[in-house]
Amino acid sequence: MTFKRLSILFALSIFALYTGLILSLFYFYKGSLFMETLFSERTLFSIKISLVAATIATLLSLVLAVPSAYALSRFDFKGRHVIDTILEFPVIVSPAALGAMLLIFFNNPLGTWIQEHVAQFVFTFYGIILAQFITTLGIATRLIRAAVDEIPHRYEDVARSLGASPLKAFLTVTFPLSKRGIIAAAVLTWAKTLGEFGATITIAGSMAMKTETLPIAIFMRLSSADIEATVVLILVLVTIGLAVLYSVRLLIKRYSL
Amino acid sequence: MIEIKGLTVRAGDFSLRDISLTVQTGTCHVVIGPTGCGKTTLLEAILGLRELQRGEVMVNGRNLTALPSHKRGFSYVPQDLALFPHLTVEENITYGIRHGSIQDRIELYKLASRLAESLGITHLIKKDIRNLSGGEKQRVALARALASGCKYLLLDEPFSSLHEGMKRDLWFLLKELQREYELTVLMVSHDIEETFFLADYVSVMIDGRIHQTDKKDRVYRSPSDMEVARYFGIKNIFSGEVTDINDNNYILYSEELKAEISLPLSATSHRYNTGDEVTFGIRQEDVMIMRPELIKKGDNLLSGLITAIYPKGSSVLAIFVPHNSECTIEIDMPEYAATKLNLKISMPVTVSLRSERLFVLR
Repeated sequence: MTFKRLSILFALSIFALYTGLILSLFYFYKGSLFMETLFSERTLFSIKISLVAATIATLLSLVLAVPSAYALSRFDFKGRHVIDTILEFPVIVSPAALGAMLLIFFNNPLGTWIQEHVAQFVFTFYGIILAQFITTLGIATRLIRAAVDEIPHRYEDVARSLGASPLKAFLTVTFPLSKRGIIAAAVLTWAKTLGEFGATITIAGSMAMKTETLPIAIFMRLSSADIEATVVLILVLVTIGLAVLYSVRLLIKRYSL
Repeated sequence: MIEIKGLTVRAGDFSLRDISLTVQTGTCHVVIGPTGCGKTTLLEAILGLRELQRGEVMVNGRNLTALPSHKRGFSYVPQDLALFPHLTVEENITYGIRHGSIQDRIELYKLASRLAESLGITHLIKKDIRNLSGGEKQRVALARALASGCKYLLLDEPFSSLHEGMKRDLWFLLKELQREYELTVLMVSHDIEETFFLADYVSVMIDGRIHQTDKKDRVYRSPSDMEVARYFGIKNIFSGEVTDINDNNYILYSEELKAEISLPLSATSHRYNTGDEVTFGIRQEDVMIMRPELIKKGDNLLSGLITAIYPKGSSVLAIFVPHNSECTIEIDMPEYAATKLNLKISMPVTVSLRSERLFVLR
């Protein structure tokens, strides 16, 4: 077997693995229960809260990640390597631990002050956003940095020699050139936030019709041994996630972004 | 006039040390040197893209050292051109007009269209940068650099990726542009032919240090030291002891050549005394094989044998070994002259190291 065929076989095996997992859901699938579970008030709320929280958390991540990624990619400053390493922090610490850390933070004096004077995060919708934001910020920054690294700094040098300020050079040259990578990073970040569970349940809890996102709803149904409803919710989550990823891919291709 | 004074820059393990040079208004000054000698770092430092440890960058007496890159007023064409791939040719050319802090935009749009015409790229204006040939890209890069009305052009080996024919076309074009738009050009290059074609003044940079700066013919005729001579590929370097000094010449005896050599006093500003050691050289093309009837008229005549001949297209490189000597002298002569002399290996010949062509190395 040639190396080419072998490598294609490996790629197909990944596809088979995930598809097999999804298809296995249909063993417990009950068509009659699907519409009832999907259109129940509780499920629709979970879908809505998941989409809204994931979108807000992603936007917040991007606001912080784009300039940070640019700084890490372009400038040599003190602490750069430490920051670069700490981006992996959410990956090495489990999401549940991250959630616990947030919970502990909001029980110290500064956290309590924030809770009292700025916003309530513990067991609220804001807690979901905060948990998702904290979990994905490092990954978003890492992905965007990779996109900016791809763009030679020479373009900015020339733009600046032509009179553009550093900000203008970034906005008119580096940003448009790395746009594709930034969009890809945003979509992956969004997908990751949509499926975030550990940190979210730890800080926001699992209150139905209040803080129950789709992954939490899946966990709650599974805990109560309601396998059929669990299957429906998983299918909903998979469908939303894959549909968004595929649509963005099509849009990028269609508009040559 | 661009003045660089005592520029010192550290870039990792490498450093530029105490670089000083002056580019007179309306001239082309080329800094030539081997790859990795710091030419690009020098341009980046002048542009304000590198932090200086010491030194000043001045234009017409105005100190620009503290100004950020976008306020220095230099136009820059890097080696890879860095044309913006997401913009069309027109958008590239007018980038500086649209995004720079420029007063008279209407005049500059007129200049941009005049430049496009001068550079023969008017028909490409709506095209995507990615669909251009190498030569077209060079022209667009030059137009972009000049369209913002800047008169100070910094070029980083802009023609190095082009084939010979296209490169020559662009040399002529750059000369015309320089004249037409009264440009002051500082260019870095490792191409000796390109340097001596385009430059009015030449600086030779080796290992982060300027070894020689002068008018191009003086740099060509009289390399200042051994490293410069080696960079120019001059192999005919010898040493001799001063045995006598007359009104016009030093008389040297070269043990290597086993011959007496007459060296004009004007070949060096340094004053030598009898017994001093002098290192001197001559370019390959300045060594002349004497026709038998002219032998008595030549100076610094050496007899010996041709030991090898290497045809190089329009010229021939012959290796000559003087009698009783082990050193070799390279002779570069036109192909037609070699044919006329019927030059052959083992042929006995007499050569002249013409005294007016000898140079002295520090």
